[in-house]
Amino acid sequence: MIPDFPELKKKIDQYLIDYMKNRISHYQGILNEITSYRHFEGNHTKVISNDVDMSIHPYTEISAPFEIKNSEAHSLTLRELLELYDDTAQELVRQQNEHLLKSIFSQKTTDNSQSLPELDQLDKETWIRIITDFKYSFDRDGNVNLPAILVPKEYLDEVKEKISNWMEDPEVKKTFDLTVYEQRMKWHAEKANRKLVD
Amino acid sequence: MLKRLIENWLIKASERTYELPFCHLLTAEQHQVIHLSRHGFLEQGKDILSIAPDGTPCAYQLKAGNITYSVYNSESDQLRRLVELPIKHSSIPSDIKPRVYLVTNGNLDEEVKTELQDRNLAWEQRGYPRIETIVLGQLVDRFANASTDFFPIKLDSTKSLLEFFLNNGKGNLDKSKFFQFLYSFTSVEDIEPKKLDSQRLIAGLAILASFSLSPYQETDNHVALFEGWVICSAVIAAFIERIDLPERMWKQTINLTYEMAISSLKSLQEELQEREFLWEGDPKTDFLFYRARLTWLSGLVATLQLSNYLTDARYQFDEFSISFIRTHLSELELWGEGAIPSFLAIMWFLQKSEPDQTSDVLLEKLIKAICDYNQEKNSGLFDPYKSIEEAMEEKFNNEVLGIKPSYSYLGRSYALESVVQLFVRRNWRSRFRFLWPEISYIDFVEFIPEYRWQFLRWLNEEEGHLKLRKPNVRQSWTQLRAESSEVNLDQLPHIFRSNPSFLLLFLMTFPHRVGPNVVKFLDDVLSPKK
Repeated sequence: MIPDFPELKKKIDQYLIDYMKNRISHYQGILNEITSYRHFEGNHTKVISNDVDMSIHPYTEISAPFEIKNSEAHSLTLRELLELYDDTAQELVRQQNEHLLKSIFSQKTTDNSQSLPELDQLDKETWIRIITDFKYSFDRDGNVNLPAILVPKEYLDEVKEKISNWMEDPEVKKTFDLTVYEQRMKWHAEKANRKLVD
Repeated sequence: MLKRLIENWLIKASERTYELPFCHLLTAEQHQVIHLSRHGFLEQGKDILSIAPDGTPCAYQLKAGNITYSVYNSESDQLRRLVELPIKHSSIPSDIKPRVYLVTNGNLDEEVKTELQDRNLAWEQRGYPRIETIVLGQLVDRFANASTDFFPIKLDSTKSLLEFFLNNGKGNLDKSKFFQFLYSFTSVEDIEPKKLDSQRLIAGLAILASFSLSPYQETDNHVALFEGWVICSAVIAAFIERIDLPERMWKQTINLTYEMAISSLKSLQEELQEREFLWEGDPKTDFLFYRARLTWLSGLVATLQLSNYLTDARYQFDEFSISFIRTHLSELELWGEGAIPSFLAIMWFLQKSEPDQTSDVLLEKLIKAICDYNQEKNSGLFDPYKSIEEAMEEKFNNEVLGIKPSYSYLGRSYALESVVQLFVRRNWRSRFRFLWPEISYIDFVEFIPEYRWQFLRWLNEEEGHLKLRKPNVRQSWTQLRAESSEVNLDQLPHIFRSNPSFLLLFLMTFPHRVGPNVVKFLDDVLSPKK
């Protein structure tokens, strides 16, 4: 055997894995905010509500190729190696998002929720309809959790400006406040129902 | 390599250290081990009694190190009793002449050999058995033979064995790795487990466990030893449950490994009795672990007492355990769901030892604490798969270094449903009414294995499912009471049904196996209905 540096390599390897995790978080963007849990055992989750089996969620494996050819190993630069990790991170996120969005859309279909309009159809009336139809959630103190809006990067500034202007419009603001108020009342009623009975 | 390893282990072993492996060796050689005299309280000069495959009773006296002439002289009275006093045991036939052995992990000096020859002649003339000797070289050969049936085919395991054997014995046992190491011998697909082979395999596993745990024995790391012996028992139990092995083929080995786990707890309690302080290692950073350690130790002390009670219903908890747990009750820390088995053991202990409702109050506090950790402003409670070290590392990284955890713990609990059902059993409806609204926000999660024997595995990565149950928003007390009194034992391995004490030890080592039915089963045996 020729000299090797296994201990240091192990440390560097850990740094590289952390680097890849950071890149994954970066590429996930807003999806990174979705709460995730680690499951150690089994191959699916079964959700039970009101003592009835509600749904089964099988686990899906995602993987991305990561290859360094022997012939290229000696000439590999750190920049190239980081690019490889970056490519892997992108591929993993692509698969994860694909799976996630598929789940979200299948959920929407079962909920009969309304699809978001195409960007060019997004006007003030449509926006009022969206904020009126949306089912808001509340934290335990009754504060509204504002929903996330997924928008292609190239339209982000345009959409942000439109929404900001509409939300300052008295009509839109009134509709939003009223909708949240009504839903908060409903939420309070549900909270009061959260109790032990005979 | 195996022989060198065994020799190295034997040379370092004390009489107590190799006593149990020697019993496993006898089991592997088809002996029926009848009696193991721990700490030498047997007056007949016999440490171990067994019946050989041909039906001959055998008595063994174990010694450590070389037996010089002066050692021999000082021990001669014990040897005389070994030979001359008859074996008094109900399972040993009195009409068959026994064989008696002097066993040492060293060698005999020449003068001792000569002296023994002379004494043997005299004993034979008087109708007594002669002393046969088993010394280091013979022990090495016999241990090696008992292990070679399966040892050489597992080269990966050799590496793990060496890693365990060479570690300094000061840290905590890597439970996942130790389980995987022992389990790998039972999961070989190309071995058709024949009944006789299985018996040898089980005894061989216990011998391997002895080798691997020897560094912890040298450092008196009682908790690591306790966990190691429980894991060894679990691996064996998983194997026998899977292939449905008759009880007579495994009971002896399981009893011995269980006895080792209990013996480690006894040694731990003895150490606690002698200690003035309960910090350990570098005092600068010990504050991070101190309360978690106290919780763990209190749980283990309670577990020992409860196990004694389950073995003998007349058993009275000793004064030290009562004082220790009472003193540290206010210092307990729910550092993660991995601490739940400790809290439950303490709760059952208090239920038996305290005349008031301290145990019920502890359950109520536990529910409140789990709910508090799961408030949106907090970050949840570490799941039971996290060890104290992993939990403290993540907490330190998050709170001091600002590294956010990769996964959430918020809004779900592996233990809450179990604790809730125990509290409901105690019929505190008026108090529970205030708890339910907060409980109802938290999902109950539990892993359900595909097959019963998989309950005994450390992890089942490819089979089984996670059951996530959303509590009812509006919950009927009557329904909850009915649920709390029902115990479904479908998932519980048979060995625990006949030995609930082993289940208690198992949960202390495998905290991720705490579930509503398991704790209700234990609750039934620890607090039987009047």
